Amino acid sequence: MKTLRYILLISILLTPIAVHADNKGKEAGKEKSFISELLSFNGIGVSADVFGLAYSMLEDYTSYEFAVEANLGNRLYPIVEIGMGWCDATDETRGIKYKTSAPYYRVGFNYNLLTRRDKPNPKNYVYALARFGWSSFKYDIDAPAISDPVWGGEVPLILNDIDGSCSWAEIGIGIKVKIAKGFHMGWTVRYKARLSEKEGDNSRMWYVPGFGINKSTCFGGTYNLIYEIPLKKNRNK
Amino acid sequence: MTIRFKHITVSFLAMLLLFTGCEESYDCSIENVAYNKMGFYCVSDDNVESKYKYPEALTVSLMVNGNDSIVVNHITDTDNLRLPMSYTSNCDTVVFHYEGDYTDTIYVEHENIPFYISMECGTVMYHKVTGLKCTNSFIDSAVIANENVKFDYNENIKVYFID
Repeated sequence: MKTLRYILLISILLTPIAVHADNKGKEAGKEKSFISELLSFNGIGVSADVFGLAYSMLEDYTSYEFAVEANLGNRLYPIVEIGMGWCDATDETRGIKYKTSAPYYRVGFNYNLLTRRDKPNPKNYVYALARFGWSSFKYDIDAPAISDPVWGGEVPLILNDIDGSCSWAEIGIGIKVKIAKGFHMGWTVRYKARLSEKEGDNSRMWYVPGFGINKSTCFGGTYNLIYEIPLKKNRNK
Repeated sequence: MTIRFKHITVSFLAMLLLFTGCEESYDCSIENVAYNKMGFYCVSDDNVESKYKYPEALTVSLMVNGNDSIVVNHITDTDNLRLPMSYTSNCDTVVFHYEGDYTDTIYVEHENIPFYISMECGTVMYHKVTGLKCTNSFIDSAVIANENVKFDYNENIKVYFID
């Protein structure tokens, strides 16, 4: 079932590309090929995610990140995201504390779904995204001693500098809107699926920088401010 | 509405439908004690292993850190036991009391593993069975079937009775 879910999701993401390729095939010879379009380097963009600023007011964990993306044919945007995640959470009921702070990394691409031949560089557009992310970090746990309910006695559970690592995949959708010359803002909604995790001898990771709460799947989002550095004059602005 | 816009809308809705309900939630175990699961077996003359229901009244007591406590009192026709393990001792003494004042003793050596699961599920104590010794009044032998004592249904120790 899980495999089927991934196949369906990948199919959905690839469908626009397939449709485009099909349409393009019919127009072969009239315009430059789809491949050569993707090889057309139009500039780079730098962005910052400010979603974490708001999120830190709601939760005990947050993250901030920066990204650099390349514009290939106003259609495909390979991207590298580097961020820093923090967590300093306390469960008031159980008295358990979890603390970590570490960098995380993502690589992937955005695919502009609104680029057309007659309007190759829309000011505002919707895009599909895919990412591979990973983080390697240390975390601390400070929990009350565990009491033996049958025989009595207590065993302490205080763990420091536990090694953790996690990798995950993300797919989702985003919107990018031009707000001034060179400046854009936008948001993304992402569905994340954990690919691997490292379990400690005495603990599991609870918060993973860049991924969120350590479940097999979760949702995430970003709110980005983007500055595009044009390296090549675009058509039909 | 252009074909492209329709396509995007359909794709987005399909993704939302697929994702809805996909997010895993924390299912914390209802139990808060990881029990040592023992199964009773016997081996026939032609070396066939089968479950064994002890036919007479059986009383089981546990001795930990010098404290003795009866955990099973006069049960019959049972082929398994679930026994709590000590959090602070590394050896639990399990005593089987049979009718007629006969006894057998199984010494269960184990490590105690305090474990943090999550903020939602808290902490638990797991165990790892590292060694077994037993006396042989009615018991032939005891072996480790699964060393990890957790919240699952796997048998941890197989006790072979003399048939």
